[in-house]
Amino acid sequence: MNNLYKLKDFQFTYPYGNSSINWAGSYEINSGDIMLIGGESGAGKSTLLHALKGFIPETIFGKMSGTVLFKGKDLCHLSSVQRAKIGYLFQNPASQMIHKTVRQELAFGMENLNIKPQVIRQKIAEFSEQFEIEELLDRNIAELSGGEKQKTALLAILLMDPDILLFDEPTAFLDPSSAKHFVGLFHKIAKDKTIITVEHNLDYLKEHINRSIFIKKNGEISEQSVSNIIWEPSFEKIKKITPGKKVLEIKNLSFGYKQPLLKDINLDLREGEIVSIIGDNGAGKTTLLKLIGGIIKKYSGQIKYENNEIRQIHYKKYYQDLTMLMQNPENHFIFNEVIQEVNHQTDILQLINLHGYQKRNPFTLSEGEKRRLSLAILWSLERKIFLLDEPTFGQDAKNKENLINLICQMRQQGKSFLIISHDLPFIKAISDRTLMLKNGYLENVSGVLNA
Amino acid sequence: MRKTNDLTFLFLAFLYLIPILFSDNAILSLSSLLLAIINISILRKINLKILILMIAFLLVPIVSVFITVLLYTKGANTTPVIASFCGLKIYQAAFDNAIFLAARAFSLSVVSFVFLLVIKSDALVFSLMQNLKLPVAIGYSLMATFNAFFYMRDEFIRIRIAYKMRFQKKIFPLKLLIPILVSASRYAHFAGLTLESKGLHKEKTYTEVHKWRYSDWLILLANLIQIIVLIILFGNKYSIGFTLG
Repeated sequence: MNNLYKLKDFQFTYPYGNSSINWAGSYEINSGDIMLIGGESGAGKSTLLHALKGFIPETIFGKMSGTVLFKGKDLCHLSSVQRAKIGYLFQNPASQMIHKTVRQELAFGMENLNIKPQVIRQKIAEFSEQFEIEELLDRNIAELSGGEKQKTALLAILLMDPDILLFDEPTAFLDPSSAKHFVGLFHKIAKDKTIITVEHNLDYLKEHINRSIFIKKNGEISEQSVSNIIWEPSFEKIKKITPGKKVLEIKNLSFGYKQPLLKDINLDLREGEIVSIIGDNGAGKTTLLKLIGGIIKKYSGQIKYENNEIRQIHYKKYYQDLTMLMQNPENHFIFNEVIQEVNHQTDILQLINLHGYQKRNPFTLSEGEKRRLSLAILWSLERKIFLLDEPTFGQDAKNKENLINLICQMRQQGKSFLIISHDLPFIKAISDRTLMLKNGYLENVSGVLNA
Repeated sequence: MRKTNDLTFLFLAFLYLIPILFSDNAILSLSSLLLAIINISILRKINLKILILMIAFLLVPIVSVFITVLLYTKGANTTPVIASFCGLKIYQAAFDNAIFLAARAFSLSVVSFVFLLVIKSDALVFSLMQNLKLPVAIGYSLMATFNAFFYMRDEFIRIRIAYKMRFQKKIFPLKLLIPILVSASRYAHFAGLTLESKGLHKEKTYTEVHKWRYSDWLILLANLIQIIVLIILFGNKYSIGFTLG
């Protein structure tokens, strides 16, 4: 096997944060390795990927020592085309879109490799059919859902036929069936490639991974045996309680942008109840939360809170009882310090595993930590109803378990939750009822899911 | 029908702005505007709904320009009075100037807006890179910037909602600029990393080809001739215009 990467005493520290990565000794990554980078949230997994892509220290600044060699050369000395053969998927797919349409985005990487236009067109047609995204090709990227953007970003990289694929949470925004389909096809097409991936949804990868490393919170990196990996964490199902009175009631709700998206939706939420909604990418889950949150006001049907139509309730009163977790955690931050964000409630930081971060700037946290902080902000508001959009994004099993316990405690106090997530083990553990949004309709799938 | 290059529309925009900018009467300004709209609508579909909405918004400032000039044209009182209301006299020169300036402001705004409506930003950037050798780094950065407007708009909406839900306030403090600025800089950072990551370089190929064709020259030439005819017909011929120095 050819030696691809050689890391020696690699250390890196960001200039603005406390996080660092510390790799003592020498380590090699060979061609054909399909490697999982594991570790706690905020340990530096994405930083390591940045180093392997060659972003560090040229494009991402910080204090670096040691060496990261690619085929015996410093990554800085590779040409742009050579570097393009190292495919990189960023954690947030929306931030890596340059073009207006999906077709343009898919073509861009291949154009940089000087591939002829007719070959590019042919490859796009072929791959989009295989990955079932033909209907997205001429759509405006700004109108796509998070999952659809993720699919576009993944395919754009694969079309470049890179020798090495670096993935930062490739399935984070994908629904389970798409994730399985995508990962399967990826490994079929890229079977001889080297793949290095950071992923929390390990279930999809278990058939493919042959090496694994683990990064500790203090930045230390060690090799981990693949046989020791817990591929599908199972969480203990929370105890059932008798829910209280009806707080939210949705009757015959229909809504669409250009075409009907939600049709005749009926749903109710009771005090202390946890209801989860699953569904394919672009099914309209986030739109449904926006409607319930009073963000979208034009719809047909009824959404009632405590027997009053929400359009008739003053927003000050409604938002005293209800709040919503946005998909991008940074949307919630406005202060310079973590402690200010949670209104100086240190106990909440302790609960959400962010103790010791009080003085940190929220924007300098890792993605997983940002997600937990955004949840802590919501907890600190003490509302009655929580609408959560992908609460487990970027969380490891330990933090997910912690989150389950927290939500469980809160529901004992009569708080209700409506959760959107693709994380099935989490959904199975936490939900009193699970509903699936399919073709615009909502159906109860609790029985199927728990079977 | 062959596709007109977006660069042609950019040149046409400048071409139509010339007679309006240098016109000395309202007829020339308004006829240039009319000609521009007719010619553009032959080449590309104009979203009339947005255009009418824009014109409706424009009416307030245009009427304000008209009234201001009508009331404050220096030296107009040496010309005949054409009307009077409640003791307020309207002089010929003030009226001519008011009509002319309002027509010019209206024509300039509407012509610019019509071209904005029909030019596709991404196609224009592609065309600039392919035909005028605009450096790819600048071209793709421009494209990312155009997309950033939509990204930032959505981000701003989400930030505002999060703030409204958290503090139950509709008036947003300056502090709210922090997440928006962070979001903008992060977008710029990742756009740069993406361009580098995907190996952007000047010798690249293009799937979307935006060639400058003879038909584009012909369109420019035909419009130029029409504009010249318009200037000959209406330039400096009518009394509605600057009659005072």
